[in-house]
Amino acid sequence: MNTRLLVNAQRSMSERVNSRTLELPNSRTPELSPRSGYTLIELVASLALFVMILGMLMTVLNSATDMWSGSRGQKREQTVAAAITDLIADDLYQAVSDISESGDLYKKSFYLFSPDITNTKPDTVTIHLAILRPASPRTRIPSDLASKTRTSLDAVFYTSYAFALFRHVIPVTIDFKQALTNGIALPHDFITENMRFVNDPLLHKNLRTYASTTPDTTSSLLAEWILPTFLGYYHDDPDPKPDEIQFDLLPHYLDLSLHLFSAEEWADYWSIFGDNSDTAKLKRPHLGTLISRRITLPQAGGSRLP
Amino acid sequence: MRTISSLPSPLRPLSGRNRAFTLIETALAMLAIGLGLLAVFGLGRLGLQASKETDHDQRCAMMADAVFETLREYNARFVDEARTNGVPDTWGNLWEDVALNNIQIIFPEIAYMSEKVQVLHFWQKDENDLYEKGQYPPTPAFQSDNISLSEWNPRYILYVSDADTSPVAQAINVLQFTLMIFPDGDTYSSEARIFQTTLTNPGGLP
Repeated sequence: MNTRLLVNAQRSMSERVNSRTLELPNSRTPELSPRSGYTLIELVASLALFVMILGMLMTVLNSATDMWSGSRGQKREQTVAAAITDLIADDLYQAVSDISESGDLYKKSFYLFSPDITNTKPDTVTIHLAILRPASPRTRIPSDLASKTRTSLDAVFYTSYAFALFRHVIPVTIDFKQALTNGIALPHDFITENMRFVNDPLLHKNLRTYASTTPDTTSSLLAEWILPTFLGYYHDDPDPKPDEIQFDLLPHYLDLSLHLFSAEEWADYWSIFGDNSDTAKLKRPHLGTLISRRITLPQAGGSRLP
Repeated sequence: MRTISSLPSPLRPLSGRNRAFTLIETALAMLAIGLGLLAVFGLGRLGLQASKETDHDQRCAMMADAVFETLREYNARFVDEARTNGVPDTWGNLWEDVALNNIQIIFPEIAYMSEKVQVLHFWQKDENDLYEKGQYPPTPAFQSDNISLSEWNPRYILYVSDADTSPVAQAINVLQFTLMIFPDGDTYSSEARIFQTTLTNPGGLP
């Protein structure tokens, strides 16, 4: 009994399904007409065309976006480089030299050093430029300034650490008792003394990570991912050593070049840094922004106006 | 009972406005797409050109700055020499020697340019005349026998464009220099940038 009922129920259900399949409307059922729609070939062809046009548009858009972001980055780097060269030129225009003690090999009022980048070691501070200039009213006065002393000069340093460029302005403390001759400070070991302070990796690390700085200095991070070159020249020097000067006389002019990178460009540059292949040699000059400037000092007729 | 043919379907036989595209319609559509593509490519080309011109502006400004700073430094030497020996016309004669290329000034180092290019070449009148007739090219700021495609290879024209005489000293004491830079070098696909500077001999006692 139960078996017969089950068989009948299955047959009934099967018939119902068949009738629905035949009779109920189905929008997916194709109508039999020769012009009922697109054929597969047409669809594939149109899709292929669409993909090709889309591909071309994406390529153009992509290159335009790359170019736009590249030129925007270049403009930003040029602005930063111009600001840095202006700052250096301003400092150099105010530079004073100490010629009161001749023959003193170790106490110099002008220092310039531009090592080959391959010699730059990690965790080492490189002092590129050190000069003395009249004290700026903006320079911080040392908190422990002793009585009967004054600050009339600033020692200005440009240093690099971990491929970042820094500027330090350190007020020079002079005792009132120390004699002055024709406005020139006699003790001129200010540069040497302050080099010990500046030559501190931790100070630079803190500046780079925006940690607190030493209160008695005006130290600042000028740019990251930068390769600076400082070259100084004396036009009467028979044997010029443009990349390293320790002298009491200011040079006549400086050739300054700054190669600035964005973080992405620096990663690319660093990956092919030691690579001597032709591809790397061709690629390297196109990474980053290279800016050069000749700064002629005032005593050699310099002017900041081009 | 509802059947297939009695119901609306998006794939019903096409008639009237729903028929397939004609050749004219397809051609017009292709034209519209083609024009759109041309506009997009044209914009891209314009962007590239603008970017290149900005780059040229920057490089030419650097070059002019370096050349004029070098001239200023030489001017300081000449002023000093004129003051020291006290001979009239010393300053003007020294600059005349420079303008005639008898005193050679080393070409300054400029970013992206090959090192130790040459000396600065001052143009003479006959060179200017030939250039205006299209028979003489501007001076290359690169070594022609050792050209590098990865570096910047401009050409330039540098000449003394004007002079003025001091009525008191009766000698030349003002010189104007003009520097034309052709940033694309041998292709001349970008217009020349023109820069000028004036150098003076202040004269008198320091």
